[in-house]
Amino acid sequence: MKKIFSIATYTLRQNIRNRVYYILVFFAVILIFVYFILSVLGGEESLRIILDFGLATVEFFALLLIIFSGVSLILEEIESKTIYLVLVRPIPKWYYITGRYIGLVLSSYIGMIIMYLIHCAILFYKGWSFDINYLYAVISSFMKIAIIGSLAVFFSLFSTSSASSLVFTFFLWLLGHFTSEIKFLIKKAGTPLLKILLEIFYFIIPNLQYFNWRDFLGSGISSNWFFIAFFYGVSYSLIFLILSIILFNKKEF
Amino acid sequence: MKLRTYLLLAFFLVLYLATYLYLEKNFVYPFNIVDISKPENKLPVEKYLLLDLTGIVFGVRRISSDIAWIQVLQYYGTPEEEFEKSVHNHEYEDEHHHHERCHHGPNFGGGKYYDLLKLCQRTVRLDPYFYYAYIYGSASLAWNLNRDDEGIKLLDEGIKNCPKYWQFYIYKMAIIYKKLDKYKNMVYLLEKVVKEQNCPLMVKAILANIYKKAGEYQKSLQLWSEIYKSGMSEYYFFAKEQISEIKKILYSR
Amino acid sequence: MIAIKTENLTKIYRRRHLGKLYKTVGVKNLSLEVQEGEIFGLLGLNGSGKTTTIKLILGLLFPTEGKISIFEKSFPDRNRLNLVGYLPEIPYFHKFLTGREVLRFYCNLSGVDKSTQEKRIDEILNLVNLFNDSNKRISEYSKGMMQRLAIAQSLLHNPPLLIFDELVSGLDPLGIREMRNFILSLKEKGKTVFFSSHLISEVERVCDRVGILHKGSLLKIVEQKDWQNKNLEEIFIETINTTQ
Repeated sequence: MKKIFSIATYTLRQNIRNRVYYILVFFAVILIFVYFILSVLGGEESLRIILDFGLATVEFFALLLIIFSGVSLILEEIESKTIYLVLVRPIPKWYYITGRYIGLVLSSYIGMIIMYLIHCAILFYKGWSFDINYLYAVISSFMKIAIIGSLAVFFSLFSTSSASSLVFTFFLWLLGHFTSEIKFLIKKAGTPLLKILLEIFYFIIPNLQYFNWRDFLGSGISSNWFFIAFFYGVSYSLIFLILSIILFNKKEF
Repeated sequence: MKLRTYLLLAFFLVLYLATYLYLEKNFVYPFNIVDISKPENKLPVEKYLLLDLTGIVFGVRRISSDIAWIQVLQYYGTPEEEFEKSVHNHEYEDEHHHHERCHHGPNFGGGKYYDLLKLCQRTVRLDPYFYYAYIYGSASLAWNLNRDDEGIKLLDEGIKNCPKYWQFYIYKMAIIYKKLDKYKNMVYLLEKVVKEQNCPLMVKAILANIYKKAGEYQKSLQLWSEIYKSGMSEYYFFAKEQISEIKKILYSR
Repeated sequence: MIAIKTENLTKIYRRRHLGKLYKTVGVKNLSLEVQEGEIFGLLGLNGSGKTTTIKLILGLLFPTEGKISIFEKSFPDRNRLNLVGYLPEIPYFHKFLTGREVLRFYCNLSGVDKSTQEKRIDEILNLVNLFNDSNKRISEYSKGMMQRLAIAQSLLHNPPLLIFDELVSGLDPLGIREMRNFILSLKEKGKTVFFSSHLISEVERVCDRVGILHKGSLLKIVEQKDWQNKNLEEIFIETINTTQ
């Protein structure tokens, strides 16, 4: 366990010491301040504008972070051969993948927390009072990041170029938000074969609508299913993590 | 490969399947009520259709509706050309001239604003839980632009989408009373909603103007004071003016 | 005890290109035994399978056929790796870490006890003369420093077996001498050293036994006494020519 933690820590360090990381977090924070200024365009609903744009920005930047780091996470180490000295240690190979994944996700989370704190500070300054829905939105975004992270790692092991993994992962993120439209297509599908194919497709794509709480803020939606959605997300991420481990175990260097 | 890995994979697949099935049954997508494939929910503004659809696909409906709302305020807040041409005199109190509709009033410029209903509908079809948009939009249409039926239409959409939000019913009734010229009933209902925390300042201004026109100066003064005390807004300076004007009228009695 | 034992070790590389299957032989029917406490050199031309052999022993490659064991622990038991210290041909480290952080990281992975870690790291850093540079980032290290850090990481967990790939590649004459003395000192401590090289002169001066590898096959194992009389280079060229 400690060894996995060790790998996670150095991954974290790698990401945080990366200049791109700083730039993305910095940029997001700047944007949040920009929203603060531009929110006046919304008249009395200026607070809502800061809230919505802020939450989406944090999620978007975290997504950029995790996709770009995720697809190169393992490929880069294989290519630069820095992985050799890790793999000749008496650790099971899955420690490596798991540790890298945890470090990857944690580094995104840390960036997100910084951005959320600044976002909240601005909201409080504008007279916002804390709403539990904000917390649900934050947890939902965390979940999305964990899912996309596991997909990024999986694709990076599956395909041999980071460019194609990037495209696949991003595409899945898009499709994940598109799920209600896919359901609609299933209903409208002509042939039963097409229907089955679409159903399978729908099953494989992570339904990111369950984790779009930041869009449901005003809807008064009940949170009963949220707990189950949490396990949905966890199991999805772990499935792809295990698949990544299986792929990695078969790899030769 | 290790049996343990495959067993773990199978376990999480089962967990995923279970949560997937549960969520399929129990999760109600909050935006199903504005399923844009249905004709009554069609996005009404052709010009912005692509932009709106992009927002829906990317899972940022609230932000799309925020942008739509900013566009409503900008549309409504821009003086229309035809009115600019006609010059009006402020010192001359014209019984047909309502200050809410002039430069110095809160709603900048008279005119028709033909597309106001459409723009408001666009906003609420993106986010049907944007209560403020329904209220502000319908109040402007009914009391400022004298298009009661359009105001009612917008509120009806609100009632369809959010049947539990009682304020919509009150506003609708108030507009109906306005149509029937039942001043007392209308004012009674408006008083109710004006006391709510999230009541748009504009509605307070409307009621204050109604009172002033009807000669109920004390009540008008009270509302304008409330508006003034709520801090910097588009009504701030106008409220100040109105307060001093009404005080003059009261003292001259 | 036998430090390294391979039995009929075969590795065939399979590559698919445009639908056709290409097979390349890495090593074929390689059987050798390295005794505990000896210095064994694997000699061969470039592309003869030296690196393949080492990677197979370390588990970085999977054998197509055959068995490998380290101190009688065989693949796929990964705990056997605790008994090995590996020095790659060209060491690559994470550029964003400092020298000390790298060593600490590898200590953690090799299971060095937390309480003795810092002491051990200091000891090793002094041994390779990197103590003063230990807090610099790897990106600032020179080639020689990286080589020394590589030696350091191979010794952290005090393994009884050391495997070096391409022993003196890229070292200057002084560096070569230092390396030579280092290996001899390891032997004095009772360690087993297995390395590959194509530099006959170095192999001659240090090894107890030499294996001659050519096109993936182990042609001959030469003992030190054999090349005392005759030149190792001659033996090597003779052996290769016999098979042509």
